[in-house]
Amino acid sequence: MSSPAYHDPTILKLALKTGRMPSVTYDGHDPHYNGSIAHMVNLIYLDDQEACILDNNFIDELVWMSAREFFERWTGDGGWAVILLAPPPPPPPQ
Amino acid sequence: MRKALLLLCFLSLTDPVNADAQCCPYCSCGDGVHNQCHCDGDHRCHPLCTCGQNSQTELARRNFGVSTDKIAKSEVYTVNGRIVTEPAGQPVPEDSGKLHLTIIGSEAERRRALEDLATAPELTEFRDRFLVQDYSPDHWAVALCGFYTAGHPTIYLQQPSGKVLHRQDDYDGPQRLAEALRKASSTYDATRDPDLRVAALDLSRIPTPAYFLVAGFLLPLLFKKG
Repeated sequence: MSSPAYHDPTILKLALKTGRMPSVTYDGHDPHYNGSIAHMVNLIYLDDQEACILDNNFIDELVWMSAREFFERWTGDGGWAVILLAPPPPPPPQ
Repeated sequence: MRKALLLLCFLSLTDPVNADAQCCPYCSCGDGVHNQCHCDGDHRCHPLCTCGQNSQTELARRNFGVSTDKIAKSEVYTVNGRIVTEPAGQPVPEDSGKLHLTIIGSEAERRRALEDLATAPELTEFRDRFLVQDYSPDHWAVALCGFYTAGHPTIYLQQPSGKVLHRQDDYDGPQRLAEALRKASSTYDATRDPDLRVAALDLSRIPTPAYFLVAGFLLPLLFKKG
C-alpha cells in the first residue's frame, strides 16, 4: 500500500474519539509475551503519550504502555486495523 | 554405561529449548499461554505455525472455515462491495458530536419505531442527526451498561457524554416522539458541555464583553455622589 495514511495512527485516534474500538495487530513484547507473536487485540486508548489495549487472552486486565511502544507493537505485526464504521454502542446512561 | 545412554536419550527428548528453536515466527509457544511446544511432525501448537515437515503444503490444504471462493485473486480495495482504486481518505465518520438515539425492545417493537424513523414525515428532520442503534433487552450493550430495558420499547436520547436528554418506555407514534426529540435536542448545546477538568472560575475563559458589562455596572456606583 502506498497510501500516505499507511501506519498513521490518526485513524485509530479518530475511531476512539467516536466511540469505536479498533482491533489492531500486535506483536507482543509486553509482560504477557516475552517474544514476537502474531496476534490482534482491541485498542482502548491512545494519545501522544500513552496507549492501552484489551487482550482477549487476558480479559481481566488492561495493558498500558507508552505510545511509542504501542506503535512498535502495532506495526511490528503488520500495522493494520479493523474498525467498524457502523454507529458505536451508546455510552452508559448518566 | 547403558544407564548413562538412557539418561542422555531422555534428556534429548524432553529439551524444550531445542523444541522451541525449531518453531517459526508465527508459532505461539512463547506467548505466555502456550508453554509447551508440540511442533513435531504434523502437530502444530498454532494454526499458522509452519515448522512441521511439508508445512506450507499442509497449511495450504487445511482450511479452518475460510470461503476461499470469495477471496479475490489479486489485491483490491472495495468500499461496501464497490471496487475503488485506493482506500478512501477518511473512512471513519467524525460523528463524535451526534446525539445517541437507542431503541430497546422486542424485534417487532424496534421495527415499528425504526420504520417510522426512516419514513414518517414527522421524523424527517431527525434523520442523520442522531446515531441510531436498536437492541433486544438482553443485549450486552444495554443489559450490562445500566440501561433500563423493560419498556415496550424503551427509547433513549443521550448526549455523547451519556447524559440522558429523554427517555420513554413505550412508543405511541411518530408525532409524540418527534415532539419529545425536538424538545430534548433543542435544549442541547454542545458548546455548553462541561469540561470538569477546568477550575470553577477560570478568568481566561470569561469573554471580554462580560468585563465591559460588569464595568458598566460598577463604575457608576463608584462615582455616585452621596
